Amino acid sequence: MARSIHPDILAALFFASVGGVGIAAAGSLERGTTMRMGPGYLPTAVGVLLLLLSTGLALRAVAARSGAGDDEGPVVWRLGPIAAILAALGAFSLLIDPVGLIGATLALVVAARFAERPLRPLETGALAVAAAGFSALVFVELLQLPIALWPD
Amino acid sequence: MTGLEDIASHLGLGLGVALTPANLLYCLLGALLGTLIGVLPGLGPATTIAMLLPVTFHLSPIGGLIMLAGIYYGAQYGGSITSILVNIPGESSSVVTCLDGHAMTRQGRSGAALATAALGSFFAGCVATLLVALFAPPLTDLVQLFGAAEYFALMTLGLVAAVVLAQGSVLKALLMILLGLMLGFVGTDVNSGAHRLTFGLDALADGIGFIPLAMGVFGIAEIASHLERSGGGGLAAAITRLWPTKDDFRRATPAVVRGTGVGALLGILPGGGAILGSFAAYTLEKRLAKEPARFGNGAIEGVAAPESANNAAAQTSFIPLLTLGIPSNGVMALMVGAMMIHGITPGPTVIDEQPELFWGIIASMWVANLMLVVINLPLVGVWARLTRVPYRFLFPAVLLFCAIGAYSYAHSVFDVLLTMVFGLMGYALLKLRCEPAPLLLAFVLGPMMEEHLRRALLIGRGDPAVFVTRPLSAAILALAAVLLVVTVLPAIRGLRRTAFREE
Repeated sequence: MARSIHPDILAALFFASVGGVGIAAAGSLERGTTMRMGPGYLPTAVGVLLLLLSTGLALRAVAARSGAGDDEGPVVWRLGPIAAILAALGAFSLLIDPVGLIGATLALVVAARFAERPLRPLETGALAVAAAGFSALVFVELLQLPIALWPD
Repeated sequence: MTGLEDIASHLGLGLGVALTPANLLYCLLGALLGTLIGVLPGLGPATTIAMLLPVTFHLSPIGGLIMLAGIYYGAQYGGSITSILVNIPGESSSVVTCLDGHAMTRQGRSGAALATAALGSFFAGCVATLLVALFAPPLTDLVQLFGAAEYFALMTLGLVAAVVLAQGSVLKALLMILLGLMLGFVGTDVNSGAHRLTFGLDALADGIGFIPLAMGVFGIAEIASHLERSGGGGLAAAITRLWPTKDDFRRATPAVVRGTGVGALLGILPGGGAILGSFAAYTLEKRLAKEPARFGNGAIEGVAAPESANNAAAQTSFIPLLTLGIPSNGVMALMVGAMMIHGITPGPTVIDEQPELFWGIIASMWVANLMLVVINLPLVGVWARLTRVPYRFLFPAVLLFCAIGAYSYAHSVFDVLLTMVFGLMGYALLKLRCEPAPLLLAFVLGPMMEEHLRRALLIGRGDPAVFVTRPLSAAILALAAVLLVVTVLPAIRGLRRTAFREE
């Protein structure tokens, strides 16, 4: 369970993996010398620092866990809202080119509303239509952004 | 040193640019839009600017930046409104405004708090505009002394300051900076033309877009965590009284003056910015007060000082931005991004080569302050009602603006996908109590730092001693080192923690 892991250990894992990926990806690049740095020099250096500091973060978290009193409390994850938000953005990105702004807006609003319960279908429909009208009016008519409203 | 008549002619030139009907309209529109969006809970100036940035691309550079100045001040005041009314700070610099501002709301004095914030901000804006006009040109001359080593040192100082200002763990702030640097490496290396860390994706050859990153880690992450905390309708109390009493004025006036001084001073320092200004001003007022116990229980000085400091710092932080090209906080980092998109590289050349642009921006900052007072004093009641709109209506609209903003910048679905990725990353980091501002600062400074570092080492024949043998560079780096040591010292950290606990 993620809940029982100290948040700093999760953060350390994330930062360390970014460092590792950075070092690996920079490995194929010329490193150069300190006088003439190649493109791979600094990404490797920053990657190493990420690994070092995230190790420090993890060690500190372990030390805090064994000692008394974690002052920050556990992180509680509720993944519903973020999942709905990502789905809404995903729907928008899938639809914006083939069906245009109106369709993409309707899909985004409907998907986003799954982040909150109860769902209230009528209200969602009205909000989606209003948002589509508003974005068409403001972004395309008033601000003249070059976005297609409807499918070609 | 600049003569008085020079300052007058500079401000005249600036006002001439800012007061054209079209630019006045952009400024008004920006201030209005900025306030409208900034007043939404959870949307601070950084998010608001990131969201409205694409709107300004279609204007001329000067019109676009004037509108951005309006958006900036509007958003900042919008954040103050939510701090006062619903105890939700729009950004870190308005956290302190919550303490006494919201206490005043609970006492039915939200009108006095809002009016004090607006008037204090306006006073601070007027003074700071003059300060910028006085000190920007001499600072620009100073800048001629800056070589690659000094720039690198200065940016290091900025990054260290970002660590100092982070409210949580220093170690995590450092890691966020490294992450920001790493993200900044993605793209084509300017010296060799090699593709770095692009993982074979051609869409990443130009680097990671600033807008998807900013919207992802600020906007998307904030929406998700707000929904998690509470679906959220507002608790805004009825506004009983718009104007402060005579007693309020008597207490607030000296606080406004002191707050303006503190904020203006700290704003000039790269990396200082509004956050430190508002916090320092509040602390100062509390120390000077005869009855410190009033603070936190609706002391009007507790609203007047940080709000004035906030605004003064916002104004003077344009000095390092416009003359040195150094963004002093996340919002300024966004402004650099905006300028670069308009083909302007902030730096010492802007003031000589594009004086109309430079003074136009300075003057429009003042005009934007004026607009705020004009717009907001009569609209205080409306803002209160807007924050009562349930979040379930607000967040789909906010999400939509982010999506349209990301897409329309380069007409690129890839940027919307990047926004998703960074939204997820930003959300996870927020949950793990890592603050996004240092990341954004490092992302913007990183590529510039690398360029100056490589150039300095090339000139110094690979000897890192160039950074300490040049006196200016050595002094700045020493300052950065001292700042870092002082921050890391546990005693100081303990102090900071108690200070923030006072809310």
